[in-house]
Amino acid sequence: MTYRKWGRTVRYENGTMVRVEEAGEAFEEGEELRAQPLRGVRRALPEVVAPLPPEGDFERIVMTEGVSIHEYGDAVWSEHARRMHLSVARAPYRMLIDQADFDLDRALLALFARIEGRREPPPRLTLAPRVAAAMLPSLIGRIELAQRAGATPDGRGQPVESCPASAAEPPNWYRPSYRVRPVRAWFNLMALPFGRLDPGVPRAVARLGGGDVLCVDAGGVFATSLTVGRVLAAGGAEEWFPFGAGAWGCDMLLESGR
Amino acid sequence: MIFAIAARDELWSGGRRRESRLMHGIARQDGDAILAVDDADEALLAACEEAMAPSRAVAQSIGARVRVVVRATRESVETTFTVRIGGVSIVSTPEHVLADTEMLRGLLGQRTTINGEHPIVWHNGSAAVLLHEAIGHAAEHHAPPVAWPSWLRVDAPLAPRQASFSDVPLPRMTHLMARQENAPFELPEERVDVHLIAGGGYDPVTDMVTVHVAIPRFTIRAPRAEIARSLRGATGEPIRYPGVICSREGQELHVPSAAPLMVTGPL
Repeated sequence: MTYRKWGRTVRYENGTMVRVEEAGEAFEEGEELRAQPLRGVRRALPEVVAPLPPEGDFERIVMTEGVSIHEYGDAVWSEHARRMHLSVARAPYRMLIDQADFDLDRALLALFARIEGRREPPPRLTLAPRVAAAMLPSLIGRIELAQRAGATPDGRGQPVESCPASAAEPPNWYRPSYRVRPVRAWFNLMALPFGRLDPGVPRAVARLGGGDVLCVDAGGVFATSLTVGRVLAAGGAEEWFPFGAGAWGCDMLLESGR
Repeated sequence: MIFAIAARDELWSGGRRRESRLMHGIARQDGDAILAVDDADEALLAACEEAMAPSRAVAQSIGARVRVVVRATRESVETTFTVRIGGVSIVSTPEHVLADTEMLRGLLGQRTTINGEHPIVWHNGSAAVLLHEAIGHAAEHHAPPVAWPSWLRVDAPLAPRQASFSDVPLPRMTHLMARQENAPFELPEERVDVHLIAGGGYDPVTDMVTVHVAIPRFTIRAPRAEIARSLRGATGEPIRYPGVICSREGQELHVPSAAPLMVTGPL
């Protein structure tokens, strides 16, 4: 079966605006994946508005807005995606932001600007949704997780349906590009709420480079390493983040591991 | 400014082709705006396919896991082989790939894990990777100068390069050639002999250089100034190192690299 994709993106990357028009197809013959541009087969795509870069001093900023049409056998679907990746440096620290909208959280930048140094991991801490979402794949089999139904099919045209996410093989296929062999993956991963959150413990509000997190408590703002011990509680899903095939962030209370 | 490319990328394993990808496109840059469309430049496409045909036969004959990439641009047609055996890779070119693969097979038995308490002797031009990270990438990021030994000469020119038609051209190394002029050299009796590198990186925020040595297996992580201070000496002409695929902003490019036999202190 052949997969075809027609795409248009506008990307702001570190000062350069890149508009990309491309279409391609991929198919598997036995164990071999073959991918190539779709020559002469154009499809009408909606216009894409160029992202408006925020003001700020960023080490790296990539904002992408894209539309695409996908075809796999009889299944045809379209997608509209928006992504923002930021890295903000304050030597020796680097804050990493990945999200599915262009709304820059200025409060987060202000917190990062106040970072006072590094501390040992607190015994317990709460992960903010943007941190917890990045952690979810590593928690499969440790806490109750689920795949949440998606509005569009997977990379093989199959519906993405809600189901428990376990260490077993995921039912759906993730294909981030027509050039990449699809792999089984959990889509729209989310933690099922449990336990009781504790607003009194330090809060990890953003990811830093090197596996660290930016942490806030009554005493200030600091970097610490994220070592996940027992997960004590998870709140309700709050925001979708573009990690892998997608993850829903939530507040998550955990013990630091050893 | 116009950039056009046709590239084919094939992955072979055990003499069988597992993946084959064709990519082509043309990018037109006007100031800070790029319009990139996957149109084909027929001449580049033909040049790409012509170069891939004999390379495919070589990849099949090697039998290991081999990735062959042919990139045809209006400036050049470049073919690179990445050969992976026993978890260790080399990167080579059509004229050297068979000899480099034999060298890799011969070195695999030496893949022990060690620590870095002894002076290090950098064989096979592998010091080029250390300098690639500590000098080349630092220059790309306009890092402040550090004091390198007076006997060391490094030619690592930067030029706008891009991996694909949809990428933003970045100032990247075109090659790295390290030479020595009247350098001291003494082979330490107790030493770590480095033969192949797995990968590395330079972090402009921390000014730290990381080099993952593949044979033998250990990792170096040190500030650039410490790397510079550690250089003790070198001898002979530059030796072509089989393997620098450089990744920056997700753009992988081949950077031909060479360095003489070099000695550093413990790192």
